[in-house]
Amino acid sequence: MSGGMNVPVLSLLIWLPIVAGVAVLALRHVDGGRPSRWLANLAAWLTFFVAAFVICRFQTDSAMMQFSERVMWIPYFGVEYALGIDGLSVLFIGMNALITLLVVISQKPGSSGGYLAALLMTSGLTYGAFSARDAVLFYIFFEAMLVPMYLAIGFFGGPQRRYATTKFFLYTLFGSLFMLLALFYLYGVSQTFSLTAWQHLPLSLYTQLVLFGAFFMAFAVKTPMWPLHAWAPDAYVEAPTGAAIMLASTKIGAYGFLRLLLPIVPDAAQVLAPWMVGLSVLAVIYFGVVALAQTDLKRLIAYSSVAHMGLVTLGFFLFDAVALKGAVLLMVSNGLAVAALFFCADMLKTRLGDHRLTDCGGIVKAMPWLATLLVFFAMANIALPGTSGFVGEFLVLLGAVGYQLGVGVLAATVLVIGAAYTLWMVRRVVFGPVTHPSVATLSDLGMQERLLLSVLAAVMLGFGLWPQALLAMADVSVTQLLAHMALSKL
Amino acid sequence: MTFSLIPLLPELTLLAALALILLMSVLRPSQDGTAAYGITQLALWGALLSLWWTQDITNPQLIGGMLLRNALTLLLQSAALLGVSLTLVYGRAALIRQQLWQPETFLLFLCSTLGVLAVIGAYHFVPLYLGLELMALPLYAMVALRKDDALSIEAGLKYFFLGALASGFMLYGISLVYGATGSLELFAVGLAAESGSGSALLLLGLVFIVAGVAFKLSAVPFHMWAPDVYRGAPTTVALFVSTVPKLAAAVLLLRLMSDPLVSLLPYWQGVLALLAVLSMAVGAVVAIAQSNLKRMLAYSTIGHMGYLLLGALAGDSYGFSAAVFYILTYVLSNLVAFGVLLSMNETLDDENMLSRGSDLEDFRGLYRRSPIRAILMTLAMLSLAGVPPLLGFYGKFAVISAAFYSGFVWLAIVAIITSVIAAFYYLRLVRLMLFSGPNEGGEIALPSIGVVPCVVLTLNGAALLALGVFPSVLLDVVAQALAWAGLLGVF
Repeated sequence: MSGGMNVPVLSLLIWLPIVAGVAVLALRHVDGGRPSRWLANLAAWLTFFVAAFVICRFQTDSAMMQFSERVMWIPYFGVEYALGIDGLSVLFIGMNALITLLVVISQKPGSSGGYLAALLMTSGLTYGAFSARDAVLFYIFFEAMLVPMYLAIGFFGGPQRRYATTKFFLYTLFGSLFMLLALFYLYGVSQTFSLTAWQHLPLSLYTQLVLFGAFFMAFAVKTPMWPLHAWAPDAYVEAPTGAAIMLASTKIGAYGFLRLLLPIVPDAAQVLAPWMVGLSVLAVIYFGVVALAQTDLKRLIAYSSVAHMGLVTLGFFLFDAVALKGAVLLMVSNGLAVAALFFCADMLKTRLGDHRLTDCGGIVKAMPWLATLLVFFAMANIALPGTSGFVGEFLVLLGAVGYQLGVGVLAATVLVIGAAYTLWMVRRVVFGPVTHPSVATLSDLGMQERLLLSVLAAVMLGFGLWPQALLAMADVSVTQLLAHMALSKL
Repeated sequence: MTFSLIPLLPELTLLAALALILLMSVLRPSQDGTAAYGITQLALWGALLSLWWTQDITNPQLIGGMLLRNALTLLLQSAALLGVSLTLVYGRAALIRQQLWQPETFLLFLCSTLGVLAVIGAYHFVPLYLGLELMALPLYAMVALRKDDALSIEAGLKYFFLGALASGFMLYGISLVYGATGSLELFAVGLAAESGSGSALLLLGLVFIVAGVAFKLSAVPFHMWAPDVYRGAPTTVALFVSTVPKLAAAVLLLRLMSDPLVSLLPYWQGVLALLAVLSMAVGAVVAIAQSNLKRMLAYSTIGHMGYLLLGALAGDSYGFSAAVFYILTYVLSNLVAFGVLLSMNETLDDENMLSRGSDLEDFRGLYRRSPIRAILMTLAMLSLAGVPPLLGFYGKFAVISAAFYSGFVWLAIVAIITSVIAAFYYLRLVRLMLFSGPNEGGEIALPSIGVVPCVVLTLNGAALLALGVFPSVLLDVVAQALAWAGLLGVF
């Protein structure tokens, strides 16, 4: 527990953006929306500082839950408002803070207050999901996130937004409702919804397999994993950039694997590991190949992100310390890379009007800044050594080779296919002949845009050169998770 | 046998108001409904106050055990009175527009409300049946109030014939139970059931009674009337039908299943499980095909009654409180949905004698024209769909967990699948209102909501969210009421 702290920082982290979001929503028509945008920026900065404070005060040498808060919330159901973070949560809290800040401050002066409010609320609920220690509380944050995201896509998304947002909502709802049954069962046998208590709950293999199925439905949809991914490309593409980044970068689905599935049903995870490894490798190859065929920049990024999530889930189910650490690193680095690439795509789109690859080409001449940064992010996305992606992918692949050479080789195709679609994309967008007459007249990035992308580039470079900064945070918790997974609960 | 009239003050208040309105409309036949409306609202609130003023939950039996007044009936009767009051607040403008602003309308509302109070309190088959009829007979007339609307007349007739059939079932069941046990007191019937005397006859009687209750709940396969009645009835009446009598039917079901007849629980459970599955499935699937919001909400109600049955068939106090909590969350959400619908301008098409203004298409692009309506309707839809953090989620949480813990895992799975299907059509309306452009087939006029309904409706909508963040406020009240009622051995 963090030394004698009485301020409920985690609650502050959750409720500050949500309350600010409500205020932004209420003020969105006042004075042309200026006060609401100002308030949204203020809230994003404040939350960022609170998150920074949490990260600074976080004790990396302890696997205990820190910054704990615990109040009985719904006594009738036995649900507690229990918060606390360990080394796994803290990484994603940090990432959520950075992503939220960048997304909110990058909004253009004309953007709607309603959109900013939805982003802030999603952010607050995401903090909630990352710090909940009560299963129902987690579930509620996990589900409630759907509502602002649904509205953000539906109101402010692309031409197919209505279809994409409904699909997104129903897929996620369907997946997570089965988890609710799993929660009921676990409460029935343990008389508590505490996630920590459930980690030590003995369960028969059969029970674990059924529970695995329920959890898997929820998190595989959200991650997304093949074959429950169908909502993701549509939602990522149709969502306005900020919402797409929040959706793709926060990694709440993969976090669910780490927080609930792996520690609660470790034996079932062991038994089903070969299947999960198979699904993950399939995802890596399948989505990689699909990404090759894309003609839309945003869609390509979406598939690339989903392909990398295959590598993350692969790392989860190898039951290997190196691979698990790699997977956690990869979650962070992929989140950053996807955010950066979506930002680039958005900057291109605001200038060109769309992001079809065929319409770009030769932007390097007109926009050297964007071209340079885009190439850097694209390289980071396919794990160029020196960027944060490299360490994560390397560690996961190392684990995969150790698990079985064939799996390692197949998973390593991510490098080849990834390089193929990335380089092809770079060739078509950045270099090559100018196919579109308006490209020559494009203006390069403004100061604010350069700053935004440079921050992301610096973070990715920083973590790539010094991955120990991230690993040290998660190290103790990952080690403990692995030790726990190795213990049979039968 | 002597008894005091004081505890009956709430019912007497309504009765006095009824007599007053009747007298007024005889003395001044041409007056409009303004005075009657005022009297009705006063009577409802007077009844509510006197209900709490005269309450004495340590002495729950009134009129020699014919009626109960314990913590649970107190809660549900209050909810019913409040529900009627809100219904009339929301429906005021619509009643005026539809030329139903007459004393008779309020007379019928009061009469039916009186029946609802009687059913909620009944602890004897005679007041139970009388209460049900008192509740239902005015409803038949209320549904057919719009004499110029073909659908309204048709709905009224259909409701009357099917309702009469259901009453017949009920009465026949009661007579069989009487034949089997020699008593009409619920408690005595329960004792006879436990000792196993005449059990075949008793069971047969109970099956008929369940059919009657299922009709009132509009549970499948006794649901046929609901879509037509909702569609045809004046919307204010549809709101009433979909909320207040459901409270009565729910408590009736729970009372029949609880202490007195608990020994027959296994028989009940099978029947109710079947009704629940059918209701949830039909409610979810058929609603998708509806193009009229009122019909859609009718199927939504059918589905919700299926979820209610999940809690009831669990057969323990957890399940019962889940069911009571569920019906309250449903009523609160449905009030908002209908409240918005009532604020729309429903007009009568002269050629076809069909009303419009309640089609889903009429809601297309509503957000751009009237954000407040669209937002409130969205809250209602999300709550009905059971999406956290809205109140409806906790209702679903309660009943599904109740079914799960009483061993009906397969029912819980069905409930989850149907709730995803149902989410589809709730979201479709949200999508139409918020994300779609204007209606190209011509937009209906939107009258102003009016200050009072707007404020009350907003509070009602905000309650869905506020109670979603603090669900314990309502849950604890329900649990406490059941605990107190259960302590005295009678629900």
